[in-house]
Amino acid sequence: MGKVVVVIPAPRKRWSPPWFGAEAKRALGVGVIVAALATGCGWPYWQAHPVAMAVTLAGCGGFAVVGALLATGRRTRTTGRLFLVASIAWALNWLASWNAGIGPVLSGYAQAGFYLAIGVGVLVYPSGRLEHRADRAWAVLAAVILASGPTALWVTSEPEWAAFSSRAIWPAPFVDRELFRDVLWLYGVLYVVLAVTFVVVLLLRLPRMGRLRRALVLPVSLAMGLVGVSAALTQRPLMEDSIGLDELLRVYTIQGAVGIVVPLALLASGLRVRIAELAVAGRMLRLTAPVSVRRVRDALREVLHDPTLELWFWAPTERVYVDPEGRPVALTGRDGPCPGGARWREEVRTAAGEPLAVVELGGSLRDHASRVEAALVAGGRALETAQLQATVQANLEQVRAAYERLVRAESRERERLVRDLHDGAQQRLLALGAMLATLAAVTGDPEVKERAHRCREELLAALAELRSLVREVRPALLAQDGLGPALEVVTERFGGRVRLDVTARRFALEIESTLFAVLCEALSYAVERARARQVSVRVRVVQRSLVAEVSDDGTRPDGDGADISGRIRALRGHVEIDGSVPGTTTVRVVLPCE
Amino acid sequence: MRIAVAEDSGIFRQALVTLLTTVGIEVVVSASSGEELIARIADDPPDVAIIDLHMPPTYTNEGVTAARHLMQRHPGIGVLVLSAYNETPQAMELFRGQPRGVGYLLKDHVTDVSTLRAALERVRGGEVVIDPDVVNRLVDARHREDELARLSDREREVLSLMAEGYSNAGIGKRLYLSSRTVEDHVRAIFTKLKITSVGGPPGPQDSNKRVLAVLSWLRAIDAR
Repeated sequence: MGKVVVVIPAPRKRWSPPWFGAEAKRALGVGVIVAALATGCGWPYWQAHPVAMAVTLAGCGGFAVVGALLATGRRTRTTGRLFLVASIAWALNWLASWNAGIGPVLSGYAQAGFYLAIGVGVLVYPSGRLEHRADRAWAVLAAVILASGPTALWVTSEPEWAAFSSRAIWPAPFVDRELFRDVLWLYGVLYVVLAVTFVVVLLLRLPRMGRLRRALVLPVSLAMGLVGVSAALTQRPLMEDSIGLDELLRVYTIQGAVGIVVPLALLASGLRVRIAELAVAGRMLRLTAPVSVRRVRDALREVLHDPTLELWFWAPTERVYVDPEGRPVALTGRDGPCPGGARWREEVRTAAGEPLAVVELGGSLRDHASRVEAALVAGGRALETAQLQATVQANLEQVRAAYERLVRAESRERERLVRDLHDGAQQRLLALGAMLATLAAVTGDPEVKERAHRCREELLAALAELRSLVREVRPALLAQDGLGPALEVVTERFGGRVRLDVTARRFALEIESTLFAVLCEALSYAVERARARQVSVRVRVVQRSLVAEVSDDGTRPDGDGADISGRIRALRGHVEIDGSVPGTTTVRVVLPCE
Repeated sequence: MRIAVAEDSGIFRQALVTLLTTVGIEVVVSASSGEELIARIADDPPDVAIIDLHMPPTYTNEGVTAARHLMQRHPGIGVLVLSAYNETPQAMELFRGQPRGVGYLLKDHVTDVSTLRAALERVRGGEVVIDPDVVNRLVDARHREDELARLSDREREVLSLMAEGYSNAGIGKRLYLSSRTVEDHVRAIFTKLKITSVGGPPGPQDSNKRVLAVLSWLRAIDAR
């Protein structure tokens, strides 16, 4: 996966279908050349057999075209080259029709090369290599049998025994009729063995493949199994001695005609892939409207059948990748296999070459790079829009994080203020009171006593003011026993009008103090401004959120309400006003809590 | 009377000790924390220990913890807990069980020599003392309750004094009523509020048990 997908507009050639354009023309050219070669090789036979010629030329040309097309694909290159070799081998096979010179000997090897090339070519499809031990073993076995077969023929026979004339170059060092019959019998059996083992190897491969890949491989495997078995069966008559040349060439015609099934099956698979790509593109467009970051990710997950797919966007101003929530993510690699190797990532760039996003996919999608690419290209505009959203989200997230830090700092500052008031000012004033009492106790002067008494009254008033200030900032009870007991003290002021149902769970300092301040505000608003007769306060944990509700039966003018949402939003919460129950207003505060 | 003081604020502790000494009350230990006080009086306990409610490290209920510890270790010692704040339900922990000689006073009233001396003496005598402001807050909070509304003004006054820990005689003295009249009021209050306590209704002379029953009624009304 060393490449980078570029979207909008997508000028790259890979995006045009493989069987149109320059590559297709080149493939057609190769097909014509191979067909011409076949024409030349089989010329003596073609003159009397035009149908056999048409079938063979179409087969050879078709094979060559498919091979050339496959050779342009990254993962199908090996298969393509092998098919190209096979088509040339089949053309050369027809040299037998000249019935003279080196042609007949070469023809046997060409036929063997044809079957070996398509057999191995199908086994390496679509991964590009022989993946399993059985595949490799079969390839070795096939190479040995197919290469030794034609050799054994010319070593043990006269050309006439093998359907050729004496004008053929035919070394024949150990001519022996009995031995030749045994050789024919042995290789007749070996070819059947080869065909059967090939089908077995193909069947063994199927269960080890993923669903998508099996769909791709199955038609080709079936076709190739058919070709292999039919080849072994049609070869049988050739394994008799003293057959005629015409009979031999007729068998070649049939074998070549059956061989066409393989490229046809491959074409069908290619079409399937292409249709799947188009379907993916269409679904991406449908699933991403209207665009949102999450929607783009979910659409990719759906069309690629990968629920584990992850998507991160590049936030250009922050120069960092962010997740759909806008939180920065540190990515160790942006392209290629992930550490561990099971998953892989693909980087997506804009047309201008700027980073756009990184997609992480499950390993099973590796064989379907073109489908992934199609989905990414189709989702390109949505991706760019989503990137803008992600960027805005990231900016917003920064602001929110700063605000959150501010609220936390404010909570700590309040705590410090309360402590200062307790340790400092209040104790000092109380000490002053005790000193005044001492003064009154030691003096005999009634006027001084009177003055000290009046000073003490003033002092107590000052203390009361100081305390009400501290109480608003943070009651000691909140720190010790939490929201419930602290609210209980507050509601004592309102008598029996307030009903409390508060969870005993404890939360972070800033959450408790913010919620306490907000609930006090909502409570006093309900009782003092809205003139409620019944108020109920309910605080509970729902999943991972802290939900606080203040419901009252008071009346309030439209648009009038305590503005408490700012502090709540800073802690990533929100405030709702619910008037759905007639005669009751509910202020609902929802705060995330871990 | 011999007194020990535990108070974390140096300036207030100093002023309190000076005041006590000036009015002729002997201060034997002046400590800056509950632990220090407990350690220093271990061998020679005073008559009464004065303990601040809010002390380090959490400034919440350290005083209550120290007081209960002290009462356990030295039965018979009087403990007077001080608080700068009225809204401190955690202080009510002091009165859990059937304590004797426990008091809870706001620091504002400490600056009034006569209140302070009276509280110290009552605690030393084994009585339960609760600051009138605390009681008023509790009674006020329940003022709108139907059941409290059924009390007459006089009965409400008697209820408050009961909650502060006064005996029938003490109540009578403060309200200029005869003991018998106070007794009638107390019975009426108990009946109207349906106050009960563990082990049957408290007798009129058992002021400690009575104050606790009244207090728990005042605090528990929500639960009923």
